[in-house]
Amino acid sequence: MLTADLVNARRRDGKLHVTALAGKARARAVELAGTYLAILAAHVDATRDEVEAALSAIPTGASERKLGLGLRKLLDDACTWEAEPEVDPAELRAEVFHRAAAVRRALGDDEHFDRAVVLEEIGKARGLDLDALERALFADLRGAYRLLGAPETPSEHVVEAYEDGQAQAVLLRAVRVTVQVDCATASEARALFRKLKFLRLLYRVQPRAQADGEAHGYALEIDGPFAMFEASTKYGLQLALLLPVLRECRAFALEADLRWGKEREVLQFETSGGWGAAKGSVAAAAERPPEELLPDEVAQLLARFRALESRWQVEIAHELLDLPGVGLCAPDLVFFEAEPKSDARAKATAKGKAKAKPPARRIFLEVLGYWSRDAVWKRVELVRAGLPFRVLFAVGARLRVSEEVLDDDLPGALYVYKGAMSARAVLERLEALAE
Amino acid sequence: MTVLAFAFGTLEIRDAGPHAALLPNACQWDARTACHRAPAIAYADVVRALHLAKVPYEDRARAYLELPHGMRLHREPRPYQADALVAWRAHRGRGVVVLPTGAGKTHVAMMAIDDKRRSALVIAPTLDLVRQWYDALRTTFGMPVGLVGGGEHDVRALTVTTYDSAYLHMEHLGARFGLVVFDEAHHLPGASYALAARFSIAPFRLGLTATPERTDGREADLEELIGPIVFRRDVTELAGEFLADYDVETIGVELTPDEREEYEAGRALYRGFISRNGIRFDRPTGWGEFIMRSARSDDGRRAMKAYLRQRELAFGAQSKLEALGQLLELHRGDRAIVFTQDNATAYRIARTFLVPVITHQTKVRERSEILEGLSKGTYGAIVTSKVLNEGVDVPDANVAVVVSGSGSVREHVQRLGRVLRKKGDKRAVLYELVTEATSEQYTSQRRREHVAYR
Repeated sequence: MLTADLVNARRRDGKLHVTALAGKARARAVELAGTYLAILAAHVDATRDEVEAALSAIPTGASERKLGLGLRKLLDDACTWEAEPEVDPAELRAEVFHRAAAVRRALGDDEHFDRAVVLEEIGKARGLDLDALERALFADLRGAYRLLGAPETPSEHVVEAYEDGQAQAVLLRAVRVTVQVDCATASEARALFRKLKFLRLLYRVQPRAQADGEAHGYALEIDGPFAMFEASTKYGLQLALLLPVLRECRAFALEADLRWGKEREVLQFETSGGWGAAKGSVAAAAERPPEELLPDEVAQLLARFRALESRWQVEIAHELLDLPGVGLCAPDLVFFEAEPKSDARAKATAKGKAKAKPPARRIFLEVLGYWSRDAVWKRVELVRAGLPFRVLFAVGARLRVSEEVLDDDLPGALYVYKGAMSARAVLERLEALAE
Repeated sequence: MTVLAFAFGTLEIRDAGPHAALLPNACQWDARTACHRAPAIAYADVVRALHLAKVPYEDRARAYLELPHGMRLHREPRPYQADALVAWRAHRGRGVVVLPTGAGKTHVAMMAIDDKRRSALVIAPTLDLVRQWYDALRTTFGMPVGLVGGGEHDVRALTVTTYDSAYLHMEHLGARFGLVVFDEAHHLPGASYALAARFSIAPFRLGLTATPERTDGREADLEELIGPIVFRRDVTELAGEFLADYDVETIGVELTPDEREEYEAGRALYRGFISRNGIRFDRPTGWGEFIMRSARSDDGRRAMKAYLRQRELAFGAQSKLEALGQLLELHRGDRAIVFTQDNATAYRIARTFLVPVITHQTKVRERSEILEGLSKGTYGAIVTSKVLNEGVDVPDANVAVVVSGSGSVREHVQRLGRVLRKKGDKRAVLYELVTEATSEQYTSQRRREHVAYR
């Protein structure tokens, strides 16, 4: 990963702008990467100090300094280095220095220390000539490591990694980010929120309405637990590690609050992307029907359910069901009641059951499949803690969880299935939940 | 019932209900998790507020224990050590003790741990100091001691770590210690390290330092992070009786004619650049401006290169090595520590005089072996750059040679401190090698602006 000091950026109007590589500058970057790759390939078995000297000998202009160092950092990460194993340097040093100390201590008043005498004596005892002994003495220092393997990546790819790495390195100095994210499927959303949890980041989530009035994706404010007291770059690494997951979503636009440079200057930074925005993918993404992006079992259920004759309509869900402090779930599908079942509602109300439940307009379905028992128990906890939505969780029978775990009067239910999900079984549970 | 929980360096207060108004100002409502939240450092204030208002609460935050026993190895404290403990206790076990190097700050910490008998974490700036604290705690308390850092992650009721590891891990460890000892506490007020103090719930905090003052003035933050300075003694108050007597000698050396020519050429080049660009080093922003402008043009890069070269020539003049050779022979029966400004010079000295070298690249086992060798006298001298500046205890060392260093008063006082530990009637000496008619003379003047050198 690039470090923040290697980012090539300009500050303008309170914002940090990463300098994009285009035209001649990009061609020069590819050329430079190619030169470095060639030097590394030619220096296999050389020491790190020798490799560094060779790389540093390539002239770069003042404006190319960070580009050069950044490319070198990425290439260095991809190299394999190893210390010279022939003699244990620490053991050799101890022997040489002990002997030198004894010789110095024994000097008379008119005598002077002679290092050559000590080195010759040790070299003779170990069967090493003077050059070999001098080299072996500090062979374990970083600069003495030998290059065992050089990367064979095309120079174009190195430059692409540099471009991607710049935005990520900027986020190392972020104290908070706001992301507008559009996930094509619940799986993408779950991956994003799993990563947030893994990175121990906290968030506020809001649905994001588009011009057509439909909710597409969400707006997330992301930072760490302590961030509400002090703007700290403590969470910068976690925020930087989030970027690859955002790039796996269909689209995102990120704004970050930075504390940049030694002066910790307050700056804003913006970046965007996602697979739908990737080069050459925009048209393809727009052409693909959303159903094609669903996991097979969800797509099959969707098709089967639409083939049923029922009062329910079904769509791909784009909402997140969040209960702050407890958890969140990302449903795959949402079922709409086409016409309220007035007789059933009247009957239920008469029994006094429907009072505590929200109106039965929408019921969400999250497919947990054979994912993990732990995930199921987290959803059970979410429902019990007061999740204000009706949700059906589809759970594979192999997870050995009973449908009885959730009481009938709660707004959530489990549907345990064997093999493939049945549209008719889902319908039965929707009706039960709607009552 | 109100519930307190530790969460990644913060304190979550759930179900405070009508008692929320009683919580200290540090507590704020956190909509992200639907609870009140405070920095972990506010734990003692929160508990005190709930206790005073007789609000029932469940404390799931506190994960520290009482120690099964106190010190197993007792040593009569020196009068000022006992006074320091009394002063610290009088401030509810939160405060900074300022004592010169070699005066026995470690023993003050041992007495504080013994006094509070809570799980304790000691945070030190270097792995050498961590190793030293580890040995001291194990010997004094006769129980296993944990270690976090340098490839180890073993957490116990008594644990030692570095500031770097504390910054990385305190969001997980912050509830497990009732007392935190900040060794060389002047490191703490940086933007990152301060979080190690803020992420901890420890009600008891002890800071130890010889030099609390910082060039950025942030020593004032120590009061919030640890507590006020509760006790202070200077080196001149303890020299002779409790610290070794010492001499300081500055040795001027000359550049060779070739070095002088190169030095003057380099100096003219970079001074020409700063003059053309109107940069003034007497302004606080001067140095930053030079760095910024030198990166923007080929002319600037040449100027920076010339600046570094003339500095390298002054700091590492050939005559310094000759003078050092003479000192090593003069003190061949003593124990000497040679200090340099940079690693390259340290390795150059190690190769030239065949003396052991300790830098950040030296592994813990080899460091221990080298320090033990110096202590036992199998080594008469060792060389280091900056990693031994602080706290490392070699009671037998009596000669310090500063081949090169920064203009920092603290660094220079600490280097002197390495040879001041009292042992019999030893007399210590600190040599400072300075290249005459170079900018190093000014650097030397700046670092000697301390009572220890008057």
